[in-house]
Amino acid sequence: MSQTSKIIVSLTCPNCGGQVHSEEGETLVLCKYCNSVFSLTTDEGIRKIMYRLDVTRKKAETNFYEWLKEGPKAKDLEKKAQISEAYPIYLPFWRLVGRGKACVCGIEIQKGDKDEPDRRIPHESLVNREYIYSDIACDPGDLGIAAIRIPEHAEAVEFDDESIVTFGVTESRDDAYTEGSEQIKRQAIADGKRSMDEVHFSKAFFFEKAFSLVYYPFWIIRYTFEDRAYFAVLDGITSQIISGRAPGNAGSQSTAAALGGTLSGAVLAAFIFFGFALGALEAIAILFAFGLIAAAGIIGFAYKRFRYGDEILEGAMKGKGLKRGKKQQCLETNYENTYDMFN
Amino acid sequence: MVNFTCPKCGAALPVKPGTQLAVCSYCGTPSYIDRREAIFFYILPFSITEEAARAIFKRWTAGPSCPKDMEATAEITALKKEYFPVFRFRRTVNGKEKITSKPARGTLLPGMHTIDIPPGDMIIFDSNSKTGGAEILHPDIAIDSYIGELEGETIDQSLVYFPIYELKYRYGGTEYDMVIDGSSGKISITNSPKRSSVSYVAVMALAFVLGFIGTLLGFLITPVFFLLIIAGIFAGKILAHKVVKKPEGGNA
Repeated sequence: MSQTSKIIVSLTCPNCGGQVHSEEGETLVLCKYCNSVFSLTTDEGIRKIMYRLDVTRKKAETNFYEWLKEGPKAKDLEKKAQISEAYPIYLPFWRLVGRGKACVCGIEIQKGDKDEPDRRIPHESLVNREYIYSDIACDPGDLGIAAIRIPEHAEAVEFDDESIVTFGVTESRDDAYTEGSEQIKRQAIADGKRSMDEVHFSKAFFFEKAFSLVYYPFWIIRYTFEDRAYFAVLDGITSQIISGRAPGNAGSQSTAAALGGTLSGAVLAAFIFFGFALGALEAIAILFAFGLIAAAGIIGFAYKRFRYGDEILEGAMKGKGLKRGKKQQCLETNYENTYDMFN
Repeated sequence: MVNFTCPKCGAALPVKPGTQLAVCSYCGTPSYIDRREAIFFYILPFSITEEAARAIFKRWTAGPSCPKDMEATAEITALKKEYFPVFRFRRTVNGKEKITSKPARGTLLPGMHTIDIPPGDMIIFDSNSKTGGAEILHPDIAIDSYIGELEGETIDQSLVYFPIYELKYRYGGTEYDMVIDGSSGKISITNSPKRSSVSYVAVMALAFVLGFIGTLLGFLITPVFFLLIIAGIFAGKILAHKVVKKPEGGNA
């Protein structure tokens, strides 16, 4: 079973008290101990699922200190940073699981040689895949979280908002549903396009499997460095860093500027020199173009580190700063149940 | 504040935010809560202390968008801890749930026009609610003035008090406003001092020119010119350090 595919919730049978499991999307549960059937009532038709917080404070803090050492962060940050607060929270996410089916017809163009014309190869594809869409159900504020990926070993429990601070849902359920189903349809068409250069016909359908409200645990660690307040958000199940802010390193900023500037100049000059050394007009043009692209790439890379390196932004943080890390995408594909056809 | 009682046994009925069913803890009778006519009051607790709000401001002044002497010279002239009121309407428009937020108070504060309720633990606001010394800004716009212009049917509506820090600071003789959301620490600004990119571009251009000339002349004339690349790296490093180095001291 793939990582993100299924949610299984443990429930207590109201009749005999035995532990029963219910899968995402199910509305009836059969107790295997007493054979009673009970239906799952949900608030306004939405199933609420909550995940157990697995990561201890100690584990979260250990991973947090590891993170402070990564990348161009301020010197000795892991020694000078002081944790001012560390607390777990639950954030709500809309989760839509469904099948995206698409039919795409189009043409692939293969460039011919000098004598041959371009070859136009018609293609037809039928996509039939399961997609998982997740989207945060409240305004993330300055937390830098947009979506979640639920790990395989995560344990779903019955909803309980008493024990840990649980953030309220402020985004519309139907807006999330519409957005999710539209994204799934668009993705199904994009998956069907594959090698086509021109698309002449496409149509997509969405079939819902489950729509639920998932409460997912996170650790928030707020820390100070030189009297400035920064923070990091960790996944409450895998303890990975999801997002955060950290002070940058002035030394690596200036190194990036110095090396990036001179290196790009040198690369461009070298390409131009070798172009002229070869002599042919075509060679000069090609090498000059390559030199320009390489130099521009180096400058762009170095300039971002130099100009915005004062602050490191991890994950889906907004605003100015040096962005690092992976931003969790809203849409994922469950490849286990894929029935595609490409012609 | 709306209080509920169980219609069967008369005991007080606690109703959780956002739920339609409440079960009486005494007699077990479930009650359906019709929320269409009522206004619910919620409050989001502060999770950022006043000290932390000052430190968030200081972090922002040290970031790449602010002038580099700003952390050292900007001065907080006022910091107010407040609860700002927002109406939140949950309505059915063309069969779909739609959530709209509108300010319940006229304001010129940054970020309050494109209002979005920050993430937080919404709890019921009543006379027992602790405000932690924050001033509660009361609504001065009637809810009716919005209801008339909203589409669709009501599901429920509430007045949400959310925590903010209203901060004023002075930099370079000018006073600026800022709002820090007291729940997630998000900063809202309308205008603020900006850092120019000119010196950054200049340093990299200089290093680029030295690297370019050094390499070209090194190949064309004599390898001695390759030393210009080394010179470019050193000059770039020294100048770049001047550009990014923050002045010492400060009182922010």
